[in-house]
Amino acid sequence: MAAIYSLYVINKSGGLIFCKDYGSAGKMDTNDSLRLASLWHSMHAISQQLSPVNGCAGIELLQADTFDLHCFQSLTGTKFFVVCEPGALHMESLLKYIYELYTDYVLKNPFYEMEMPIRCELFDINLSQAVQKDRVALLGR
Amino acid sequence: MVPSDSLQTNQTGNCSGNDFTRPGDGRIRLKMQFFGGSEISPSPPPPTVSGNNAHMMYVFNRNGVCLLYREWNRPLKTLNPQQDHKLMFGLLFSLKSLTAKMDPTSAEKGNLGVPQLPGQGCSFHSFRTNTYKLSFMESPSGIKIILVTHPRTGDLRESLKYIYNLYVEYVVKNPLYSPGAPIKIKWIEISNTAFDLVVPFNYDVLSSVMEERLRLSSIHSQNLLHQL
Repeated sequence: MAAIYSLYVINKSGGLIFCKDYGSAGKMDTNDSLRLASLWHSMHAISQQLSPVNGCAGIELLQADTFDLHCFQSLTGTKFFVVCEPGALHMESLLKYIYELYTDYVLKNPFYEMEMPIRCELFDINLSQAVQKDRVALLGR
Repeated sequence: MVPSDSLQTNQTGNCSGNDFTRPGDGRIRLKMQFFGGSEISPSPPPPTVSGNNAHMMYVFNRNGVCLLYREWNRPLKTLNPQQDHKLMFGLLFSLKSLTAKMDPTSAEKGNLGVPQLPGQGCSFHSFRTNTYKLSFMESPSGIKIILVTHPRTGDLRESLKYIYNLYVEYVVKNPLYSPGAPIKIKWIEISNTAFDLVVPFNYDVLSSVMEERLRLSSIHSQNLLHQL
């Protein structure tokens, strides 16, 4: 069972627009989440600068001692990243699925303002379903 | 002058960890056990992918001075060397504070960006982009070893430890080496892999003891190259 600790979505300028915690130890306050999100945005950009060959698109997977961080960047620069247990599988497909949910339930919501924090009920519902599904390893996409 | 890293070499010298009775710091002791004895293991870890997949290697000390930079295959250079080293060190430093803060398994994480001692807080051992993979190791004395390789390279933690052992054996134990100075290297320019750092000091200034050690190390390197 792949445990997901938290999920973040950051807009193209590095602002945190969505953050959900699925049970990491020690609550992080909002300011810390915002700082972490913009720090990740910068590290992502710097990693492209340091590439030894052309065409680097930034960090996809960061393997830390106690967690893995998978990041997916959409063509418009919105970044989705998930913090999960080391060695968790199918995270790329989960991130792509979350991106689909984002396009369907956030971008197509007429009341959503671009680059602003996501407050869309349908997105929340579908997201929690997707993550639940993934928790029982049924996301066979 | 006593090299700051001789701390390590003395302590790692043929002690299995249990007979090591330095009072006080349990954290350092744990790390010493982790790195094992100072004898270089007879064979380096087997390469995880065959072929030329090493791009660059960096060694930094704890103050961010680049002791060693080596590149094998780097078509893209966006910055001058000093700025490149600074950017790399900054990236590692910030990523470490990010992972320490993000660590989902510990409740007490402190504030973001507060400098941490080596071994303190959650660190990371690699990251991967679509064009390269960066593997990272930090020793208890703050020496950072970085290997940049092909993105599909496997786990390089053993190789990094091996390189660290080489550093301890041939750089830290060299009496002519002053800590913090860039490492002068006589590279063996044969192989294009990350494992060819085997004769890491000047030929010109060697005592006979050092000559012997050098001879041993080049035999070692020949063996290494044969294995690759």
